[in-house]
Order: sequence, then C-alpha cells, then structure tokens
Amino acid sequence: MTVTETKRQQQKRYFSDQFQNRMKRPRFYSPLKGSQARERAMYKLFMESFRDTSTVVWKSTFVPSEIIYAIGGVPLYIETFSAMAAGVDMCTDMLTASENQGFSRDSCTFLRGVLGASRKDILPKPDALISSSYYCDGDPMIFDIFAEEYKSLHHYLHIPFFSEGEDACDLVADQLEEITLSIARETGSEFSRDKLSETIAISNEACNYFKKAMDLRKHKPSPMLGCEAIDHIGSISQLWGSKSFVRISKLLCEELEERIEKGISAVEDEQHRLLWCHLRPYYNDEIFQYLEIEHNAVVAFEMVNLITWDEMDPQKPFQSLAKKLLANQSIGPYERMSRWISTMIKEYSIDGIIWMAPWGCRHFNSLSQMVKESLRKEGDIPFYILDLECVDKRNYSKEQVRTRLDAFLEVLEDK
Amino acid sequence: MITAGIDIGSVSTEVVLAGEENEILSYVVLPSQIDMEKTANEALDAALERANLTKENIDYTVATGYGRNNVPFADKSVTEITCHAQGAHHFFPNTRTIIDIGGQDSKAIAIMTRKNNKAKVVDFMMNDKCAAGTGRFLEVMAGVLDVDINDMGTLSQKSSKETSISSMCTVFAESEVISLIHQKLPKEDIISGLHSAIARKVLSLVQRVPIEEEITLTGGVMKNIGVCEKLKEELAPKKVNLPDEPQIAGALGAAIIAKKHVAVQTN
Repeated sequence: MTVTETKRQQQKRYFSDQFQNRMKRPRFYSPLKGSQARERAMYKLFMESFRDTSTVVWKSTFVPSEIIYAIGGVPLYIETFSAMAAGVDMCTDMLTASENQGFSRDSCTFLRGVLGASRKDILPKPDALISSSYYCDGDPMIFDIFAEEYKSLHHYLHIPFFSEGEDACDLVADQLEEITLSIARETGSEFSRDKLSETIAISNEACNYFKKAMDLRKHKPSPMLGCEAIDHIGSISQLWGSKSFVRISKLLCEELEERIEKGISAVEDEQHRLLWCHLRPYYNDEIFQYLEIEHNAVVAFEMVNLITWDEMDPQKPFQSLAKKLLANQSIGPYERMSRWISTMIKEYSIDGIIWMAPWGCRHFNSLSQMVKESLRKEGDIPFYILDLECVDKRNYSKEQVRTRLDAFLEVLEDK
Repeated sequence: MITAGIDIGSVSTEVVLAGEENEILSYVVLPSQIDMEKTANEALDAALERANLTKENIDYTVATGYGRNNVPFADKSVTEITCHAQGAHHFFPNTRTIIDIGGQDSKAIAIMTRKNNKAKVVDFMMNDKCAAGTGRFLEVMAGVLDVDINDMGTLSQKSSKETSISSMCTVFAESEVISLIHQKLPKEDIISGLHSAIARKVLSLVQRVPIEEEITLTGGVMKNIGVCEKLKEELAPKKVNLPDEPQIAGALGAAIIAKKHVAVQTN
C-alpha cells in the first residue's frame, strides 16, 4: 500500500464519519424521503471523490455540474464541506486554521473553512478546478491558491455582469466548451457530445420534477418546512446532471403531492409565510425551529430554490448551459433580483422577507439595502436584514438573533 | 384600569405604571442587577409605593428589554422595538422615526400612525457585531477619563475644540482616548469627540430605515445632552424631539401595550 493510498483512505474514513454524524444529528422534524435521498446522494458523491480512479473537479457556485458529469468526473462544490463541518462542530477549527495562515476574518467563511481544511490536508484532491467570477468574486483568487497547493490546473469562467444578451450567452458557452475539453484532455477523460446531451436531458428531467415540487410549496398551508427545503439548494446544486437528482426530485414531488392531498401541513396553524434569502446557519437548526415551529411562521420559499431557467436543448448543450447559468437571479444589477423577489412574493403568498446577511458575503450584502429599497417602493412588505453567519458559530448569539426575530414577528402580527 | 410596563435593560431597569388614558402614575429607574427577577420586583415595588398602589391594582403587565423573558409576574413579553415605538409615539404623536440608544444596543425604528391614531412599526434596524456607540461604550470612556458618566453631557458643552476620535471599536477607542489624555488634551474636547463618534455611528444605522420627520430620541444615553446635541446637528433641519424622561419610553410603551391586552380580555 502506498503512502498516498493510506492518506486517501484516512481522509475517506474521516469524511465518512463526519457525514454520517451530520445525517444522524437530532432534528426537530422528520425529513422527507426526498431529503434523505439527497443526503445519501451527497454522501455517495463525496465518497466517490476518494476513489483512485475518480476524476475530481472542484467547482465554485454557478459552474454547471453537467459538464463534469459528462466527462465522467465527480463535481465537488467544495463550499459544501464547510457547511457539513459546521453541522458537526468542526468548522471553527478550519476557520481558525485559515486565520492562523493570515486569511482575514472579513472574507467568505465558506471559502475560509475550505482553506483551513486544505491546510490540514483532509480534503479529496482535485484533478482540476473551475472557478467563476459570479458568485463569489473571492473564488478565483482562492481557487488559485488551491491549484498551487494541489498542483492541479485552475480554469476560470468569466460571467459578464450584464448577462441578458446573446453576446453574454455566446461568451459563456464558448468558455464552457473550452473548459470542458481542456479538463477532459488534461485528466485523460473521455468527452463526447452525445454524453453531454444525455446529461443535459437528465438535468432537464430532474428540473421538471424539482420545479413541480417547488410549485407545490405555493399551497397554503405549506407542505414543507423551509429548514428542510433550503438544503436542497436547487439553484446551485452539484447534483444537476446526475440520475440521483431525478430520483430525489421525483420523490419530493410525490411526497408533497401526497401531503397536500392528505391535508398535512409543515407547521400547525400556519400564521405567517416567509421568504428566506441567502443560505442558512449550518451549525444548528434553532432559528428555523423558533420561527417555524414555535411561532408558526413557515419559510414558504427560499431564494436558493428558485429555478429561473427554461428547459435546455440537449442538441445545443453549451449554449443551453450558458443560458441556464445566466438566468440566475443573482447575476447582474440588483433590479433583476428585486423583480424575481417580487414574483416570489406573489406566487408564494409571502408576508415578510428575511434577508440573511453573513459577515463575509460582500457580494450579497452589497445588494441588501438596494433590494430592500426597491421592494419598499412596490409595497409595504416587511423586510428584515438579519446579520447572521452560515458556518462560523463564533459570530452567533442566540438571544441577539431572537430579539430581532421577535421584533420582526411583531411587525408581521401588527400588519 | 392600571397597567405596568417593565423594561429590563443591560444597564438599567425601568417601571412605568399607567392609568386609563395612558397617563403616567409613577415611574422608577434602577440599575439592573445580575438577578433580573429581583431587580424587576424591586423596581415594581418602588413604583407601586410612589403611586400609593399595590400589585393587586395592576390589571396587566408587559415586560420588555433584554430581560423581558425573565419577569415571572409579567403577563406578556414584547420586544423593546415595539415598546419604544409606542412610548415615543405617546410622547410625540407625529413621530415617524425613533432613535434609541440603550446600554448595549442602538436601534432605529420607523413607524406610521394608523387611522385610529395607534402607532405601527414598519421597519427597524439594530446595531450588530459590536456594542460601540452604546451606553456601555460611554461607561468605558467615562472610566478612562475618570469622570462621572452623568457629567459627560455638561462637560462636553464646555468644549472649545472637538477632538477627532477615529476608531469606533470600544477597545481601540479606549486606547485612542488614553493616547489623547497623554497628549494633555482637555477632557471636554475628548468627550465632545466621543459624542460625535456615537452620533455618526448611530446615524449610519438610522439612514437605512430611512429617516422621516419627526424624529424622537429615546433611551438612557439620550440623558446625555452632548450626544443629543450632536444628533440634532447631524439631523438638522429635521425636527428632533427629546422627551423629558427618554429612558422610560420602553417601559411606557410596554404599559400602553398592556392596556390593549386588558381591552382584549374585557371584550
């Protein structure tokens, strides 16, 4: 047995333990079968990344996983690791490790968690890396550090700020094609257009089910807790293009249909319907428990599960993927996000918006006040910017957060 | 009908007893102790004694503030945001924006008046990540400057040349103030600079609400005339109100909210 294999096995065992601890954590709700299937699929994906024969590609947020599945690779949206680590109380060590190396506490905690983990050498080694300029602008710099550390090639995907024209689509499609072919060549993987078309068709199938499942959440009372739904993270999932995501989305759809038919609601006596923007705290569920169970304020929908793209054309795979990527509401001027939020407010009968503002998320935080002002002009929807960290529990104070949530609930009750 | 409002803050605890028309029957301000329940009882007893009333005379009690969930005799707890809004609106019915600076937090609250003349909170912002610019900040600075915190306002009025305080982190500002003391700068000028720094910090919060006339200042820090003057300067030409007792706005608001609950119970 070589030293590398031993290390890899150790890493795999370590990850397996942490993942299983995360899955076994005490929860205040019984997860749907679709949610359990998603967790198992994620576990399997991470375990595959430790196989000697796997081609592991680290990707940043909006890089489409379909191109990686098309070359038989394992896409790792590596920030997931920080979320998982936070869930098993490991992230603080990772963050401290990155801070000890001089990385500022004012930068993205997800990326810093990964940096800390890479310094501790506990991550699956990437064969290639793909970063993009959106989201987040810190990715390309940090991915460059990873590339040097793991002696892997870093590919950069530039996403234009003004993304709604044909030129933008061509620019992104050309880059996606070039990156896919380069990675296939560099890693000795096989690429065929047929395989990519097939992956696109699988992605479409999952998308149809996923969209339908999210549409079912428009039902009043809501059939699904936001705490559970937000983990599906539809808009940026690394499972797009995998058959497992088709099964997960189909299961979700069927379960939500069944719940609605049987009159089963996510919370008893639903009082308020909230829209949650950004991700969530991963170190505990108590905020959601407080809102959804103790105060009957269900998170009816969350920005990360908004599917904004149309069905892709498998015969034009790169153009279709570029259109999908550029359709994301987070790309471009704030008016675009405001328009999408307005749509969600109407479609999901939203009473109030909680805009989570994590410390180091500069991109998202810079939008908050502009989006709030723009929605204020449209109507009197209560909108609260909640300073709250996703993975760094050192910045979390339960009582401080509760006071703000209580006040927001009082605003909703007095509406 | 008699209602009680109790505001347990990190620094002080206030109790207001209010009558049928929300008139103040008595009020008490005491320093908060570690034992919140004990503080609450002592403050309530003192307020009752001043009004020549007993606990049995109280129809409903609302607790607010940081310790609102630790008052066993309260019928309900309501956040300080809603309570300060009601209290400020009672003092000045045309108020649209409230700036509250308490012991460990500062808030900006936007309200509107309903057709029935009741106030409704439409937006609020609270300080986050640090307590710079709050009462605790002033307490630390008073200690460094070796002055009584209650004298800081009047001392700052004697300043002839305000000192610039660049840092708003409490710990860094403390070392900055020590450095200014070593430079033999007059305490009055340093205090004036500290008040300006607080005003700037709070205004950055308020502007996100946004600011609408009239503005009312509440909270214990508003008993410091220096901070109020700086805020008024920054907010000019907008009309800025200062209640005679800005510290009791939260407790008064709680007593007013308590009355609504008595009405609901009666109906």
